[in-house]
Amino acid sequence: MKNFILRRLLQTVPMLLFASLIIFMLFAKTPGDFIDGNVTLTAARAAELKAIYGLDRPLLWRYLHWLGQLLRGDLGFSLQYQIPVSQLLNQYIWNSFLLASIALLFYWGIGLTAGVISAMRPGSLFDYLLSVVVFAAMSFPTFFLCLLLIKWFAVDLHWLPVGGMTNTGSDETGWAWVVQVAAHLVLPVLALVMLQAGSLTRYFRASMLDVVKMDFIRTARAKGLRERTVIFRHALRNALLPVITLLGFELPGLFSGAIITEKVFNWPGAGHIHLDSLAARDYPVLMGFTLFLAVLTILGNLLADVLYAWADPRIRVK
Amino acid sequence: MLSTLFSTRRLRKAIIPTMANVTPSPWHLAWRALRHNPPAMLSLALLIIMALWCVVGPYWSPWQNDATDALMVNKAPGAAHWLGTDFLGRDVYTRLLLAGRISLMIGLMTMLLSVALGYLLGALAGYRGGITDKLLMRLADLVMTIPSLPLLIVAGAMLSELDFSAESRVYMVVIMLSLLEWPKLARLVRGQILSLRERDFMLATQVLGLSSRRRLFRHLLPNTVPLLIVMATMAVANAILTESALSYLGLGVVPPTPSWGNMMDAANSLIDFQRRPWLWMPPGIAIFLTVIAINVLGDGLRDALDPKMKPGLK
Repeated sequence: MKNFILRRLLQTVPMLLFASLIIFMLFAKTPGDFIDGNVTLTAARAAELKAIYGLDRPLLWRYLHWLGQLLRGDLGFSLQYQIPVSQLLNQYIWNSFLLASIALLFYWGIGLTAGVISAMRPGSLFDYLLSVVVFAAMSFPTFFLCLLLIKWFAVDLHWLPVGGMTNTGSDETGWAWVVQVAAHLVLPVLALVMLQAGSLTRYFRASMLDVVKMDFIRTARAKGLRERTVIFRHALRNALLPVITLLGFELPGLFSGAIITEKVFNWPGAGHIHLDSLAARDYPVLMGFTLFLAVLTILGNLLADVLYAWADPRIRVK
Repeated sequence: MLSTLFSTRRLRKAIIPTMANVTPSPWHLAWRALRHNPPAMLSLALLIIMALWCVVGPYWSPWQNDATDALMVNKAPGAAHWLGTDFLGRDVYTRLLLAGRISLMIGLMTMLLSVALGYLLGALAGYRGGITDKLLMRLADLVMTIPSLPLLIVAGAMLSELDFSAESRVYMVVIMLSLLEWPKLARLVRGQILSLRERDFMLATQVLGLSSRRRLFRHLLPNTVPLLIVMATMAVANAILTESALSYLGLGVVPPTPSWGNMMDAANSLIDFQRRPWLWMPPGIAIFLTVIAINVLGDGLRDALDPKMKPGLK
């Protein structure tokens, strides 16, 4: 097991290097930068600023400099906000985490329950209706669903706030603040749950159906166990095995911020900052953030592999 | 009685062709299975009607492509303008059909390009194995490591900066989407080829001493076609969804070229969003209907072509 983890960790090093190179080249080669975007600057002042930020140096030097900074844990300095990128991310990432983790709890719960129930009676009315709902959920463009939710629940019915995290200009603290944030969370969470629960339900259902066909389930039934025991004690535990890997893949999504959902609901999270920095051409933020996400993706894959190997000893032998 | 006994040879000659007709080909079987799947057939019909409508509809519309009408700005749906008009007085219904052409075309072209790329590289990796396989799969991993929406957003911004014309942006979007989509497809094809390679019928071709070209093109690759068809269908849905999100953010297809995504940009203005749902609801519904039809059809195709591919249902 230790060897397995170590080997996988070593594999991630070249991946990270290449990913950093691609990300750097992408932003370095994008025409126009933060300073070019500011038309009020004179040519001399612009050149001076470029020299300060090292933008006039050769590409290779800039890449190595950036990499050196990264190795020391320095993600760079935001040109737009004039604070370190890590500090900026720290301010916003937790809002994304709040939104994504609450949504995750809900859609995993819903996906698991619905998937197992429909797998218990494949071909039933519930199974059929569920598959209709799942297809509908998988086919909604994210932004359209968000817009519809806002239109119905916020604009027409006035039940919930339109967007943001707190009311404009509010300085509530304590319990009142929690209630206010919760009210603002309802719609984005609903949108994320509706979009994600569909494919997860399908996955759980398929995994459960695969297990139910196996011989040991027939044995369990032949022993005369109650159906509930067969499903929950014997089948479900095995059906959960392949699903564990999915949990690892969720890792980057918890912090990346659902870019479109956050934009439509004006949620002050990492996804929102992402689009903001893009408009301002604040490349250090974008580069730092994209690399951070790449690291999380690689870690998530690693976590998925390790979790799977831990849960299913057959994998380790390979 | 006697005559039938004597003419067995002639009889056999007569029967064998009819037998061939009785035993249906796999394609025939698949089509039969699909025909008995009402949701899938309904979806297929819907898609064909939508595609035809988008292609032919604008010719019958009394309104010109980009004809603006200063007197008929932001009109609600009515007898003259079925879906109302936008802020320039353009007919929303005509624009919806024209946008449909672009969005469907992007979906299809992205599918063709990404499936071609993914299939080629996946098959190459799976068949050649060794260093080719390692390199290609590492490359696929690398592309999948970098989160795709942020990458697309940056690429979209880069396109805006490079000043592509509105028409060529459509093709750039196709290329962008394809470059991000192929790794997933390549992995699937590679996995399929690896498992097919170990099957007995492939061993049989080796035992028979068939040339490697014949083994590859006559025996191995044809068996991947069912997977290919299902993948291609789903890829169209995926491309349409991604394109619409990108265009909605103003980074995909840009005006004046209409696409379902950039028509929904109207929802970004508060007054249009609240008071003029006819501007952004129809394209959203169009995307939704297209994508759900493609998904249902893809699911039906998967059942029809190879029931084993659907995990859990046998």
